[in-house]
Amino acid sequence: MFQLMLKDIYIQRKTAFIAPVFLLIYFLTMGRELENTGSLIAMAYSLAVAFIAFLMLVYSNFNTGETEKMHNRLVLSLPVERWSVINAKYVMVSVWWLCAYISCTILAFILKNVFHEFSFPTFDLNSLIFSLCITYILAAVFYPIYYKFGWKAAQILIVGLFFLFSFGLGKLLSLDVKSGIISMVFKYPVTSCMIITLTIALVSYFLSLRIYEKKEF
Amino acid sequence: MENILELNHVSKAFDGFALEDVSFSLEKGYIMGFIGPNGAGKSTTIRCMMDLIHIDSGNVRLFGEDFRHDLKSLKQRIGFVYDQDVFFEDLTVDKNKRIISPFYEHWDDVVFYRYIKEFNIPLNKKIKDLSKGTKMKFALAIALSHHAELIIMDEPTSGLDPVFRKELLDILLGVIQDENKSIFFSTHITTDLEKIADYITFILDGKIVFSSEMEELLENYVIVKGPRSLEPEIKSAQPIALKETSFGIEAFMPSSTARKLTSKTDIHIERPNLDEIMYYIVKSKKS
Repeated sequence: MFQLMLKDIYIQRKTAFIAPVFLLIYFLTMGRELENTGSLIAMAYSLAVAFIAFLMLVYSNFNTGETEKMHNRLVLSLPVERWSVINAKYVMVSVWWLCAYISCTILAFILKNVFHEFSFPTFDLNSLIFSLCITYILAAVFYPIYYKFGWKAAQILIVGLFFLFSFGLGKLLSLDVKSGIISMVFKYPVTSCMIITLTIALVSYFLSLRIYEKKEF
Repeated sequence: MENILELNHVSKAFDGFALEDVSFSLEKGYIMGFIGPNGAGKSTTIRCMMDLIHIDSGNVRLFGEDFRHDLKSLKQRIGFVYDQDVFFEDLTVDKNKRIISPFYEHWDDVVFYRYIKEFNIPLNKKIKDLSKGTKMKFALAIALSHHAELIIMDEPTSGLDPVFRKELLDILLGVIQDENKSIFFSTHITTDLEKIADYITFILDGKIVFSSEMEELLENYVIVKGPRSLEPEIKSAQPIALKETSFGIEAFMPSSTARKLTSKTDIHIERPNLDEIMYYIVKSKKS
């Protein structure tokens, strides 16, 4: 599995590692608008990190000029088991998230200390957990669709999901819910987010595994 | 003798095509040529052997073991060369090697760089910038650098010029000097195989027509040529295929049935080459 993870790092485009630069305008405008809004600004930062992590994850699947079929033919002709291909992909989500988090933090640090232009909470534990959870949720939706229908279908769906996330979370946070399961989510947001993510990621993992085991190349 | 590769009654159905009851075996230390026209099922059979597609029934045995038993370990002992571009096109030769080599426990950098030098492959060039022949050489260098015991090659010579095809065949003959190595070589260019193959397996429309020793195969069939006046006698020998040429009649038949025609003075009997055997068998099956 480690070799498969290394393979993904090797085939990653160098530009993907400096992807947070694409979010420069977002950081500058949203940073000012959401200043002193508490959890909303942490959420906005988490979304930005998750977006970059997801971008890296998507890139790592198809950026070497070969088709998905040929890529899988090569990988499965090597001494690997099919399940380890899926394992590697799901573990790599954390690696891409870490890369995204580090590069976003570096960018934020430069903006804050050199240009005095940034107010996102870069070393906040909540943003750290939220960004990891959002990355895993996006990956959890992406992979089963990618393995079943190919990357085009997965990409279209995931862009929609990302916007739904961005607007939906804002809407959810503005709701005044005092009872039921939703209130528990608001009471323990970090724990709830982790439980929801773990459930979705596990379901997605087993689904991807089932699809990939049956797939023919 | 130990079978290094064995397919027993393998079947796999697709929409509009099926592999049916495919059985053959390859012993350690030999080269098997896998021939058949385009679309006969050669690549599909290889994909079954590599578990890239799942067979409906039958079984594949590699190195005496069921391939589902421990495919990861079995693949450590297999080198593959495919017709299509499976390597990372946008990466250099060296980077491709750096990605692939850690997967093999017995990877040998000395052997790899020796082949790279011998084949004159530029390490810093991207795969997409290499010629078809150089890509094939690179795939071969990868396949030979982890001390694989079985080399599976899917149409390695198609689209290559005669000079490189000759070079490739010489390399394969060098590889087979090690009696622990075997080569399974699919192609529709049968002239390549006559020089190197010990066994020939012929597939047509997803079914194995024959799988036998090369020498035995070439001795089993003959081409009978004679004037049109001898057509009734030639036909009475029940040829597999018969055609009229500008010089008379040409018939393809088993050597055993041709014996009865040897007494005729106008009859000329020739030993066919692989190309002719494939041509006449395909022709007879289609008519």
